[in-house]
Amino acid sequence: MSKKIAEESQDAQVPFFAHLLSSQNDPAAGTGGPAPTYHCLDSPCTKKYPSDEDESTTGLGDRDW
Amino acid sequence: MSTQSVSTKHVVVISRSDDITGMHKELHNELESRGVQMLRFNTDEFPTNAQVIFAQEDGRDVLRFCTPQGEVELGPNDAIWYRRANWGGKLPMDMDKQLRHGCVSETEAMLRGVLEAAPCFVLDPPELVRKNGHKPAQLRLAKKLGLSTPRTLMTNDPQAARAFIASCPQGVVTKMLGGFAIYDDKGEEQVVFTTALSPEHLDKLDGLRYCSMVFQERVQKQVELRVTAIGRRLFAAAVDSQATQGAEVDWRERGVTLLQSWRPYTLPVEIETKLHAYMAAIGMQYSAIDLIVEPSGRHVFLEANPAGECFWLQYNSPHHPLAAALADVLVAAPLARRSTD
Repeated sequence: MSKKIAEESQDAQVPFFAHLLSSQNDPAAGTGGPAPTYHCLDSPCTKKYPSDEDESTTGLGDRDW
Repeated sequence: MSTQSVSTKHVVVISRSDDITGMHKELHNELESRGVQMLRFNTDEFPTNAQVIFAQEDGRDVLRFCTPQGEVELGPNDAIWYRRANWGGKLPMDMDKQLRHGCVSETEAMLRGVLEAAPCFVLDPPELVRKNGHKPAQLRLAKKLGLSTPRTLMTNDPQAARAFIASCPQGVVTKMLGGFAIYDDKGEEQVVFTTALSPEHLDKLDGLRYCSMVFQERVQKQVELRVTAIGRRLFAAAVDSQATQGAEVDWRERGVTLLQSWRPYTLPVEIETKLHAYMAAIGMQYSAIDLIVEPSGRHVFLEANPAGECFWLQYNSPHHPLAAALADVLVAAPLARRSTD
């Protein structure tokens, strides 16, 4: 859940969406062996749902923090 | 390094190195069976490991893509599939930050620019993908064309959000305008799924001052649809998200559980006609459209993703022939392309 990220930020500076963040906890995922995914056949992709964006939006590649 | 032959038609697929969808292989096979060569160009490999040449010389425009796997000079009978982008993603991270920013900015401008000026068919131009990705405009167009849409509020105003929520007796869901991930200190990916608002959320709404959100009345679901529009064809698939605990609000939360649960769906003629009108209005060949079917049978338009994923609907049930449809559009098979004039 997102509580940790939200709690680590100063209360006055937490966007509403931070309280809604969650990781996908589908019990069918991660039960041994590579899970079937929405993108790949036999690659180690971890996406458990389709990514519909054309451009990379995580920003991790460019982060300077 | 292989080079093009003069007579062979070519398709260049614009993507990024980490795009490992199985669609690439399927499309390659479909194109090869049609006598067409496919070259994949990863946007993160440019400009460090791949080259692009756009030139105006001798009265003609030249557009050439060069990768370690081969090179292609595109002509009027060729085509481009713009799928994914990570502009300049492999530029060295230890470059001076300002210089790297300039390189990334110019990389995006170069690639977007040449795709806009390509001397061949592009499925679909990145400028159209960006323009038609805006959710407010999608809802406005859908409603204009007679499609049902949920009551919606997009705002950064907590007071307006509270008033909207109070006016929705069946409840409210909230979601983001786009998709992004945040990683916690263990590196675990966290996202905002579509979420049903509960009373505990209401005292957090002041956080809208930092980021607006989308609020929609909660629509009762019989099934959820993903309609893949490719050229003149619509491929509709349905999933019963209400039968799986945890998938009721956002089926993606049980995406793996539901992966094999999609079934073919026959759209009512009226809805099909309106979705064709939507695609004609945006002038695109491709979109992945999400709808809800209410128990009453009313079809409610949610969004149309201009670059949405679709491969799972070919690889799994309902096994729609999506790669073949893409290939038909790219090679201009008879009646495959939607007129965008």
